This record gives sequence, C-alpha cells and structure tokens, in this order.
Amino acid sequence: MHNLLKTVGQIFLLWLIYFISTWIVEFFHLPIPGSVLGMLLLFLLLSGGIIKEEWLALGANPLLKHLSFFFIPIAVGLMEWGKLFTEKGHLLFLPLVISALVALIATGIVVQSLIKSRKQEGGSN
Amino acid sequence: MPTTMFIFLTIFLTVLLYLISRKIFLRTKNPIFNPVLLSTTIIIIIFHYTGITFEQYKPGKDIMTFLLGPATVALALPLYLNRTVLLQALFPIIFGICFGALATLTTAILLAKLSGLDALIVTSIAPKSITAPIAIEISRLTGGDPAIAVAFVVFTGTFGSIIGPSLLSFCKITTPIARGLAMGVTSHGQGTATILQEGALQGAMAGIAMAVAAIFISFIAPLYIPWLVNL
Repeated sequence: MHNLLKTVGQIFLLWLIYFISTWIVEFFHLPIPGSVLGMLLLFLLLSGGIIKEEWLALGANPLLKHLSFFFIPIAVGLMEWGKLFTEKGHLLFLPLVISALVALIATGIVVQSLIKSRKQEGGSN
Repeated sequence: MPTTMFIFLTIFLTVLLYLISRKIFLRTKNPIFNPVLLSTTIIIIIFHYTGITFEQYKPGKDIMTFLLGPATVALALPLYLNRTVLLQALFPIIFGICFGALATLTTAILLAKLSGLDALIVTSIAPKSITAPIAIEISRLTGGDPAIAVAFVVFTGTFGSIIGPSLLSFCKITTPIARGLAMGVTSHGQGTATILQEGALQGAMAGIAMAVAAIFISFIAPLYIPWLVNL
C-alpha cells in the first residue's frame, strides 16, 4: 500500500513536469514538443541534484517498461487510412527500407571511425 | 457518444491484447512479434468485422494515452543513469547520432517524394526512426498524421531490429559503442531491446542514441521537415 502511494505520487511528479513544460511551450510558442522539453528539464534537474533519482524510479519504471502500450490505441487510428495503405502501400516499402539501411550504416561507420581515430591519436602521444 | 460500458470494454480489450502479445514477444524474443504490431492488427481486424469505428474508440484511447506525456518525460531517467558512459566519448557519440538521424530523415523524405506519395505521407514518414511518443508530437507539429507516423515508427523499429545486427557485422562495424548507437538511431526502443542482448554497453548506447536523436530532430523538425517536403 505504501509503495503504491509512492508510485502514484512519483507519477504525479512526472506529470507535473510534463504539465509545466507543455505550458511553457504553449506560452512562448516554442516549436518543440512539450514532452521533449520536459525530458530535458528533468535531465537538468537530475544533473543539478535538485531532483534525486530515488524520488522518481518507482513511478518511472512501470511507465518505461510499458511505454509501448500507449502506442497501440494511437496506431489503431490507422484504420481510418485503410484505403491509402492498400492503394499506396507498395510505394512506401523502398523509402522505409533504404532509409533504415542508411541510418544503420551511416551511424555505425561515422562513430566507429571517429572512435578509432581518437584511439590512434591517443596511442601516438 | 459511446456508453461508459463500451468505453470500458474497448480499454479492457486493448489492455488484454497488449498483455498477451507482450507474453508472446518475451517468450519468442522475435522482433516480428512486437506487441504494438500484433495488438494493433488484431484490434483493427476485430473493429473491421464488428463495425466499430475509430470515433467510438476515441474516448477509450484518450483515457489510455493520458500517461504518455509523463512516460516520455521519464525517458530522462535512463539517459541520466548512463551519463558517465556518454561522457567517455561525448563528441563521437553526439556527432554520430545527429549525423545518422539527419541522414535517415533526409533519405526517407526524398525517396518518399520521388515515389510520388502525398505530402501528408511524406511528412508522416519523416520521424520514422524517432521513438514513438516524440514521433507522434513531431508529426503533429509538422502537419503529418500521428497514426500514420506510429505505423512507420513500428515498421522501422521491427525491420531494423531484424536486419540490424547482421548488417552491422557485414559492414565490419564491430565497435560496441558504434553498434549500440546505430541500432538506437535507426530502431529507437525496439532496436535498444534487440542490441541489449549483445551487451549492457551496446544497450546503454542505444538508449542514449534514442533520446539524443529524438531531442535533436525535435529541434530541427519544425523548419527542416516542411522545407524538405516542399522542395
């Protein structure tokens, strides 16, 4: 019971950060999602030691563990686009597949060569 | 307006299918059985044959997604816990993530345009490598459709998780940091779960990549995506 109350309280704290960030984004007409600002804000509060990790872990863990649950009701919205996918579905295949290959190879090669060149520099010193 | 009982039933159905598909996924560990893909397909098939419309599902959907915002904010926690790994090679990590995220977004938009797809689809395809909660927001901000965006996010997450590890090995990308980052940039949460099986460092890197790519693309999206779509 005590833990359940703690979990609810911690989720409320996360919700409060989200609520404040969404408000800031709307008030200042910032062109970024409120949730992204909230995430940055929480990262800064944690790094600055203003919020302790223990104050949130209990509430954050179940939300993160079941994050993918939230996408199901949103993805069901696809049923409104059925016609679009039966008519144009085949055209989507190439852009999606090729751009995924580009992401894997581009990130992998750039990071690997940067790390290797740094190590070589370190070795010559 | 659907009745309270009906709303309750749609929520019950969604939660039940999620729990079952999650069990199947955890048992098989096969990316093709990811819970979002499996549950969404079954719900759409059920709705199709029973004549339930999305309009009727919406009240239940709004209740179920109420905690998505706070859950997205909570993504800061794993990023914070991995900060020491991040600081080990800050420049290669941040540069690699931003480069990869920008390269895949640009390729996706340009190829979708070349295929002659409508502006709505081209815009919704842009955030397909970004973690779903933020991809939804990006699609809203740039004139895409959140449901279409989620479909592309799940496709990319699944495809990258299936092909990623072997493609990286084929391209001689063996550094654990590079492998983790590549999987996180491409396939967000699904890629993170997949590459975590190779090791904790790879998993941590993928988590970092997922968060940093989402933040970076959020900042450039409102200007860059419409510009590229209308080019």
